[in-house]
Amino acid sequence: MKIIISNVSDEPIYQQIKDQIKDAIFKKDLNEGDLLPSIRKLANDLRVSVLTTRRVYEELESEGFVIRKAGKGTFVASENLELLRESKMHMVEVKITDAWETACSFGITKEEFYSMIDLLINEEEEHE
Amino acid sequence: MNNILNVQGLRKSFGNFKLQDVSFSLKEGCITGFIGANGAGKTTTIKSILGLILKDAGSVKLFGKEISTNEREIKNRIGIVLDNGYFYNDMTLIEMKSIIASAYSNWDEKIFLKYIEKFNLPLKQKISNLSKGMRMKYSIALALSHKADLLIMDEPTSGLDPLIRTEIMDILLEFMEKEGKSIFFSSHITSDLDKISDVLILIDDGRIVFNKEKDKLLDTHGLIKGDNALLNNDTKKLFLKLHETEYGFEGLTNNKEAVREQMKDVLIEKPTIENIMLGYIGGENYGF
Amino acid sequence: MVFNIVKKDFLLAKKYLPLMFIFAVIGPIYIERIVGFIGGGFLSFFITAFFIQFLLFNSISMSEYKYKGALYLCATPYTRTVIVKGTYLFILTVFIISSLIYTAIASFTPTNIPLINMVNLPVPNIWTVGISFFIITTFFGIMIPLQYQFGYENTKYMAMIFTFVTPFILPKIVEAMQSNINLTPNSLYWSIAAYIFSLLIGLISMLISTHIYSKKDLQ
Repeated sequence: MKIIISNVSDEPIYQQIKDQIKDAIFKKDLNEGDLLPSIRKLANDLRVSVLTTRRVYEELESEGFVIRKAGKGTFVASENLELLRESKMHMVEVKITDAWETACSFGITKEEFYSMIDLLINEEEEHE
Repeated sequence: MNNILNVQGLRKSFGNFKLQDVSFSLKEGCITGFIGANGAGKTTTIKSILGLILKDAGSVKLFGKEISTNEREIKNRIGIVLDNGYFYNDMTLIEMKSIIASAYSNWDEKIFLKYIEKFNLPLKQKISNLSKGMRMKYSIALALSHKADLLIMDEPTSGLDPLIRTEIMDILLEFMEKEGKSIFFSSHITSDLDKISDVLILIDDGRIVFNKEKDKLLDTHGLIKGDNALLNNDTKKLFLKLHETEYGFEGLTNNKEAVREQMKDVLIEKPTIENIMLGYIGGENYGF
Repeated sequence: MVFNIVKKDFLLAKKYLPLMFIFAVIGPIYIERIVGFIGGGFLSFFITAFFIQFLLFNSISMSEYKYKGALYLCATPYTRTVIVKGTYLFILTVFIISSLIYTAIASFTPTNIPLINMVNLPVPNIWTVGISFFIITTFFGIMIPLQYQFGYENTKYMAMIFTFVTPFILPKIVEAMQSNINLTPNSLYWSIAAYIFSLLIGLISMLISTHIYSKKDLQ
């Protein structure tokens, strides 16, 4: 599992960690039933506050990604892939909405926005 | 999460210096860094908590109990590391240890010897023969050998080189891996706290300035650099401290998001704990 | 717990112990030669015991002042009361030990060795020990609380004078006053009274010291 915290990101630290753990789950770096590091170990390794890693695990649990078992630790939830997929879609929706709002604030039109998306996807596909 | 230490309305006057209405709580399972300039009141606060200095007013509760009524029970659960060591330097390590060990009901000789071996300390030598770094490690070995739940440390790393400081930070992190442990650690060397603290409490001139989660401080504060042209009466208000030169400005803000919105084309960097601390103390003429 | 504080004091005074032991053996003999006429070996016993106790007390006070180890101890489960008790118990222990040494010397000193032949070191009786105990306890009973109140720095000058004056000058003074000394008769009741008063004084002094120390800011 890769977690790298950026010093220049807009996002709060706990958000970055949360997103990267979710990524790891989606990409199968973490599998159902895997034991995650304790909140203290994760905090120590990432050099963040234990209150942050605690929040990350709490939110991941409420979103259905992990399960915390008292005395044993935090595990990747063995679950309903459909639920995960919906949540993946939701994450992308959130990002597209964000991009669109930014575009609007700059006065970029709907057509220009669509062209930008096409262009970007084509470039991505060329790189792969 | 329990509050392992509760300080309420602590007041103490000494000549020119005063602790004024110092109130804060320590959460269990956290490393709380207590920062401030020299003379700000860190040592006075710690000594008041331990009952070494008699407070003029206020209450101090450890593990939910008053120290005056449950002194032995509470002190048995606290490990102490003080800046000066306050050891009888003419004694050998083992002689001093024998006195300290007898004070604690949960003294564990095996753990103590394990630390001595790990730190490579010469038990039969006089304490005065040890370097400052070794004396500090000895102090930590004593503090960690009686199953303490709370470690209270006053400037444990001042005067030590970065290598030893890293070693000590690692030992503290290892201590925290067990459940129910907490550390309260005063320092003016903020780089150590950058690495390991969970919560930061800043004291200045006898008063508490803030008591916040380290990551929340880092999320809301930013080191901003940009063109002087971007500064106007509105944007200047966003900064705690501002330093302008002919080449541009550098500022510390506690509202990174507002800066992001109102000032385009600025460089926003993660501040260090030192930047943040200096943002709150020192008055107009001091930088950060 | 108190015994560990006493142990701490002995460790602090470690380097003076051999010297004190030698003095405990030789001192009485020297003093007895000068003022033995008083009888009962009172002065040699009293001066020896007092000098040793005083010197050791001063040395631990000095170490404490220098290193401030009591600050660390007060942060541990040792309470301030125990630390104060330890000081008193230390001095008492030193008294007991020097008494035992004196008694041993007095009991086993052979009288046919030429030098010592001149001195007959009497085994101390209950009265000698009692009155010495009383005087010494009164002295420390006043000294210790004063030191807790005003600090070692301020009371140490008194200390220095006593240390150097007592074993040398006192016997000479007494010698000069020889015709005027006449100690109270050796009655058993007076002896026991001496011990009881001593203990009372000691306890009251300890209470006062404990009270003073509990109100001190340790720095």
